[in-house]
Amino acid sequence: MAESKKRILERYCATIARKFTQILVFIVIFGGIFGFAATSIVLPIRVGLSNPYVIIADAWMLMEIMLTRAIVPLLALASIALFSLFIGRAACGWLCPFGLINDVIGAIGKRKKLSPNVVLSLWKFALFLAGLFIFIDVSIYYNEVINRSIKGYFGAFYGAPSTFIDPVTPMFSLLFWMTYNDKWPSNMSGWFSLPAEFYWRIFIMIAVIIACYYFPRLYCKALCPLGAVMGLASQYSLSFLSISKGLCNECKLCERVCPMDVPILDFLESGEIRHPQCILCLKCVEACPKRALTLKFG
Amino acid sequence: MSLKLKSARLILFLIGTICLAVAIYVGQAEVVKELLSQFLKEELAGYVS
Repeated sequence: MAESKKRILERYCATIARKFTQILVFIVIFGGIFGFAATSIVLPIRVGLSNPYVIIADAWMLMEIMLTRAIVPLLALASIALFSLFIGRAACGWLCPFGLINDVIGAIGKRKKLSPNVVLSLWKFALFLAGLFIFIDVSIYYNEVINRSIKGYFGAFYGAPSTFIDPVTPMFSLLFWMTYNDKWPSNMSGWFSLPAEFYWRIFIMIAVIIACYYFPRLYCKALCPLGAVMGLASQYSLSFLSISKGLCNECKLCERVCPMDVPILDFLESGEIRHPQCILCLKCVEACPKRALTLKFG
Repeated sequence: MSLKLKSARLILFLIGTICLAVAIYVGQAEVVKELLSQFLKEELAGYVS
């Protein structure tokens, strides 16, 4: 009995470590609930910025809000560049609070797989969105600097354009704010007087949750602008997965368990899995019966 | 190791370290702390004007 427990621990060592890290980071990020003050730590994770209980900053939201306030987001850029260089997209798999929520929904969901072409196209779509938002942010920044504001063109979303299609900020900021300030309508007419943007953002949040139920981590694959930018840089990361052609028997078990649908066997010739959607969750490493996959650094 | 890989890593390292150094120099950490400790109207789009 003890031996079988030991075997299970060895088999799922990475998953246990990852889940423990994700939950611990989730608790630490909301450290304001336990009385901790805001820190100046900026991580490449998605949690929003404006929840006063959050004590660690979301690099993407920080970058957007700083740009639209005409401040150069130096800490956000440093965080994205250095994390991508050293650990690739591992922050998505190990630290991101919204990634944890995606994982939980995916675990109880249907787990439909996407083809390699679709997975790559989704990343390109997310990268396009990220580029579009950065372009809008930089345009707002430039026009603020020359005192010719264009904020009015973007309506209520001028301060952070990506919140238009973002389920993170409604979940971690807007709903918290409404509860914190007791803004929930007490009668039916109150619901009709809420702004249209509120309903739009709640719709996006629910749509993403439903999509993640069928396709694990769909938000991370197709909508997360931070993940897309880090995916671009993570292809040159110092941390990567390596696959041994000699050991691999091409059973495709690794591809079946991958939550990001990375076509792992496509990298059999090169031996290095450098895919923009790989979040280094190590599920493939655990699943491989031949131990053909290993995490490498350097 | 290919030249492309080396160059990309060098660029990422330079962007990261230069931005971090300048951020420390200009004291951007205080701005981050200030932004983190409030509900920002930017993120509450449409609700708070």
